[in-house]
Amino acid sequence: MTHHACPRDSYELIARRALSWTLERCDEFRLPSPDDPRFAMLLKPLGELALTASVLRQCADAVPEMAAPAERLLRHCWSEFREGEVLAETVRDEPALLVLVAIYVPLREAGLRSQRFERTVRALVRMRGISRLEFPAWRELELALALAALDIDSPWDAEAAYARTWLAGRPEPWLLCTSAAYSVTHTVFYRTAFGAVRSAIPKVDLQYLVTWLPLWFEHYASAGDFDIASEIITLARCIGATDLGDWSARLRTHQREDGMVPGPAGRGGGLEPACIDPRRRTFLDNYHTTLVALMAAAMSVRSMLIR
Amino acid sequence: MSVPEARIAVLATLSATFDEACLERLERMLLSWAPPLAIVAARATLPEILTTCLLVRTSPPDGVTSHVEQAIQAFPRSPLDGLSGVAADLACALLLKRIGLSALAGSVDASRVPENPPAAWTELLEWGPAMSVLAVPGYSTQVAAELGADRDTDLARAACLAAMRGRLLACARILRWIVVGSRNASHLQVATELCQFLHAWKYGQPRLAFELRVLEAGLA
Repeated sequence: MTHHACPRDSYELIARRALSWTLERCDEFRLPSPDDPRFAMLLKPLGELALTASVLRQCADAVPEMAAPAERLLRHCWSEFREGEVLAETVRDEPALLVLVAIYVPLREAGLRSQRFERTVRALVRMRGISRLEFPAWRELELALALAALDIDSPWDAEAAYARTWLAGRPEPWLLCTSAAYSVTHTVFYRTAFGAVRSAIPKVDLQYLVTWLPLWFEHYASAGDFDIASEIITLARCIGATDLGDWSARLRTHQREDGMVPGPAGRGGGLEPACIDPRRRTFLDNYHTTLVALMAAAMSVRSMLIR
Repeated sequence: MSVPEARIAVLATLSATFDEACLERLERMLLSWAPPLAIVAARATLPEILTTCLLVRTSPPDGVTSHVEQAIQAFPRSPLDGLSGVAADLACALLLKRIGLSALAGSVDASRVPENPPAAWTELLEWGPAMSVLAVPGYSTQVAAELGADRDTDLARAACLAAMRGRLLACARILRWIVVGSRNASHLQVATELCQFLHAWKYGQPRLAFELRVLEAGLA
């Protein structure tokens, strides 16, 4: 393995490899037919691919070589979503999946728009049954901000939701557990629009994050959980924090030569649990960590270039 | 009774009440043991015995002092390996002077120089506990003052990482550096909250219970 001392070189290599792995596996993100029992579950990888592609698109202002693959991935996702028809039909049939609105926002920002999905969402959020759905605070925050981006009245209040997140409580840092870790990272992702609005995090919470991110990265990276470790790097870029230690080198060491970033054992088990096809199983178990690492690396390269 | 068992018994006695009475109970206990065992146990727990005397502001009872004296004469160096042993000898020499047993201080082999604190905060996870006998509340050594003031964020991270890894004794020992040297209110709050957390785990863990007594004395 080639070793690069410079974090930017490391992140460039991680991003290039992870992007290559992802592009080669576009077909794995395809949706089955809506009557397939796996359909709803497999919206998750496709939605996450769309989100990753939108972040790459955001990074293309400083890393131009990201523009074309980001566009290709966004169009692939849009095609799989049948230009928004799949999104509209899904929330109509399963209103609890309204969170798809958060996947739709970056697609819309890329010019991929579905009037039907927007009309469906606009009608749904007026229903009492929607406002009574019980979500964790970070999910309510995500929904409130996504609806605001679409200029749709939201039953959820972003400020109130933020105030109830784990992060806003600034809890004892050693009590961060897996679910709280994802809550913290997603709270920051959404609140800052993936780093576009750094000032959206209150200063006192920002200071809390800057103090404890190194602890959390160390904890999860040492445990081999590069899913959360990569989310922490992404979070750091969202708030303009720099690495403290050899974060890029450790992520690069964990990444395989083919670009895949192995996920923590068992984390992808909920997707197609009966699947025993080795190639498919490998994809399902590791795609999320690879996408997050791709986002983390691309955002890191961008931040180092524009600094 | 084995030496490790005797060592635990000494720590349990000290941490039970952490006052003059606990030192009197320690005296009775040492006198009740066979002399070789009592001497080895006293040597192995010398930093803890002296720290207790300092924090409860008392001289050791005569029976304890005589065991301390015999222990140092028999073993001028700490039985602990590596950095912990170096720190223990240094701490013993300093603490003996501080509690008025200066004559004994010269018999401790405190000639070895401990390593400076590591630059990487993650390495404080090993260095901090190994050297913690030098972090005694109310008795600030130069290293404690500098570390607590300049590296308190690193120490707080190291203490939390130890807690996350279930290394509770290491966590408590790292906290000693914060309690002794930090002036940062938020880090002292973390130390206080970690102490509250560690309390749930002290039962049946005399070493942890002892460290919590030391921390409480510093946070009071």
